[in-house]
Amino acid sequence: MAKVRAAAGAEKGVSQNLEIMRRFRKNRSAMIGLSIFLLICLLAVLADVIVPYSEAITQVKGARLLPPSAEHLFGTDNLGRDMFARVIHGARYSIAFALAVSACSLVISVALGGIAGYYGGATDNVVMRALDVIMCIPGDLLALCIVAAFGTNLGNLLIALIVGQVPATVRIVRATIMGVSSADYIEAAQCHGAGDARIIARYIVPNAMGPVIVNATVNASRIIISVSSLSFLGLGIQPPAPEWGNLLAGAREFMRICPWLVYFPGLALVITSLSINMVGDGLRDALDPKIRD
Amino acid sequence: MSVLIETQDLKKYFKTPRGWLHAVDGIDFQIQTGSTLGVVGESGCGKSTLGRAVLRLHEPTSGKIFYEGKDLMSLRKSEMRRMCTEMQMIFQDPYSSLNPRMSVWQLIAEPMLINRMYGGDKDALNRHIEDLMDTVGLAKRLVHAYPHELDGGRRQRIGVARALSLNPKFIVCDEPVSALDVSIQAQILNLLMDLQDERGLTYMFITHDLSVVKHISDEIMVMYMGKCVERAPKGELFSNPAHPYTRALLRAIPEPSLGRRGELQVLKGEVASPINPKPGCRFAHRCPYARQACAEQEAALAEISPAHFVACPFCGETK
Repeated sequence: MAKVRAAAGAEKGVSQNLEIMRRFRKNRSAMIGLSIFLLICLLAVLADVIVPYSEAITQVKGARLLPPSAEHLFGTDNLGRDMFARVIHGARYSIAFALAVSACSLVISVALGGIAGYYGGATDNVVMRALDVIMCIPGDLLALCIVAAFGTNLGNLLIALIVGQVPATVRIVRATIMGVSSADYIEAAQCHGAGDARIIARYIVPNAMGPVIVNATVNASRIIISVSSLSFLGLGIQPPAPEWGNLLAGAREFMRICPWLVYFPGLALVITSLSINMVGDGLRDALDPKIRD
Repeated sequence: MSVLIETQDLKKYFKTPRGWLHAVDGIDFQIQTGSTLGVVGESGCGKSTLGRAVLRLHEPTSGKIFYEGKDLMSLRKSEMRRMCTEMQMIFQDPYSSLNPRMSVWQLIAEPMLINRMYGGDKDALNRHIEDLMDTVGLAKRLVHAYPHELDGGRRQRIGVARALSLNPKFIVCDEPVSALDVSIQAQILNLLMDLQDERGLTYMFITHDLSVVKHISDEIMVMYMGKCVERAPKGELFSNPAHPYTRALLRAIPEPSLGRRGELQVLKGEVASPINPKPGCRFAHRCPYARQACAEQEAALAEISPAHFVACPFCGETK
C-alpha cells in the first residue's frame, strides 16, 4: 500500500523540498512544537507592544511579591516589578541568544568539520586534535571560565557559548561528511566527470544537511538552558535586564512563599526548549528520504 | 576487429599501516572492440580495483592504459574527466550508487548536464532521457520517482541508463548483477547483451559468478591475489582449464544431477595476505601440485595454445 502511494506521489512529480515540507506538516508533534515556538517568538518580538519595557524594570514599592491577579498576570517580584513583563521581555534575550549562538556555531562547525571530513589525513588530525583539547572541558564549564576571566558582558557571553558549542558540532559535521564522501554515488559522480565543486554542492551538502540541521535545532534548545544557567549563576545577562535564568536566580529566596516567581520563568524555559526539540525531531524525520508518510 | 582498450603491467598498490597492499599487481589485457572480457576471481582478488584503475577512478601506481591507442596515463585529471564520455562504469550496488536525493530524471540527466551534452536544450535532453528509459526498460511514469521507491532491478536499470547516457564505447561492469536476485540478474544480463549487439559496446565484466561470466563473456581472465593466472577465450577456458586455481574454481560449480553425489574438492587454506606478498607463485601454498620451484620464482604468463595464457609452468604436467 505504502509502495503504491509512493509511486503515485512519484508520478505527480513533487519536488524533494515540497515533499519534505509535506512530511513535516503531517507530523503533529512537530507542528505543535513549531506553533508554540513561533508564538513565543512573536511574543518576544511584540514584547514592547504587549507591555512596555519600563514595566519590567520599574520598581513599585507598594506592589512587592503580589500573587498573580488581573493586574499582574504573573504576580510581582520582591522589588515590585511586574513578572509578566519580565518573562515576556526575558524571552527576547533567551531566544535571540539561542538563535545567534546556534547560527554562529553552525557556520564555524560546518566550515571546520567540512574541511576535516572532506580532506581527511593530516588536516583532519590538526583540526580534530585542537578541538579535542577544548572538548576536554565541559562546554558549560568552559563558558563559565571564559565569562569569569574576560568579564561579564553580552559579547563575551556570546563567544563563550559558541566556543562551548563548536567542538561537539564539528564532530557531528565531520562524521556526517565522512560518511557521505565515501558513498558509492560520489564515486559514480566522479565517473561521470563531476568536479569537486559539483560533488560538494550537489552530493555532499544535501546528503549531510539533515543530521547537521537537526543537531543545530537541538543545540538551540540547549543553548537557551545554558544562557539561563549562566545568568542564574550571575555570569550571564545582568539584572535589572530580565532573562529567564536570572529571574529564577532572583526568585530563589522567595520560592517558598511566592512560588509563582519560579513557575512562570521556569515554565517559559521548559516550554521553549521542549518546542524546539519537537521541531528538531520533526525535521529529522522529514529530512530522511527513506522515512515515508 | 581492433583493440579498443589495452593495459600493460598495470599496478595499483594501497598504502596500509602494515605495508603495501598489492591489489592489482601487473595486469595485461586487451579487449577487442565490441567484445566482452570477463574478469573472475574470489572476493578481494583485486578485480574491482582493476576495473576502477582502468578508468583511473583509483589512480594506478604504475603501468600503462591505452584507449584507442591513446595513453590514458599521460592525461591530466581534467582531460581524464572528459574521457567519461568514452568510458563508463556500472556499479555493483544499485542501492548506494544512486544519490538518494535525486529523482530518476535528475539521476539520468546528471551525466549529460555535467558534460553539457545538450547545452540549454531541455527538449532534446528530455527526449534523450525518455529514449534511455525506454531502452533500459524503465516505465516513463517513474521519471519523478526517487531511488528508494524502486526495487533493485529498476535501480540497476537506472545505473545502466546513466552509463549509456553519454554514449560511451567502453563500459566497466563491476558486478552489476551480484546484488540482484536470480530472475532480475537474467533480465539485466540480457539487457546488457542486447545493448552490446545494438551499439557495439565493449565490456569489461567483473564478477565472482562463473555462470554469469560464461553467459556474457567472449574472453575470460581469472585473477588471484592481484595477478592474472589464466586468460583464454570462453570456450577454451571452460573446456580446457589449465591453471590449478581455474580448475579448482570450475570444480566448485555445483552440478545439478540426480543420484550422483559428487565429492566436492575444496581448496585448502586461505588466501594469503596481499600486503607485502611473498615472492614466488601467489597460489603456491594452496596448490595441490606445488613444488619447491613454485615458492621461489614467479610464474609468468605463457601461451600454451593460441590465445590461451596460463601463469603456471607446470600446468602441462598436472592435468
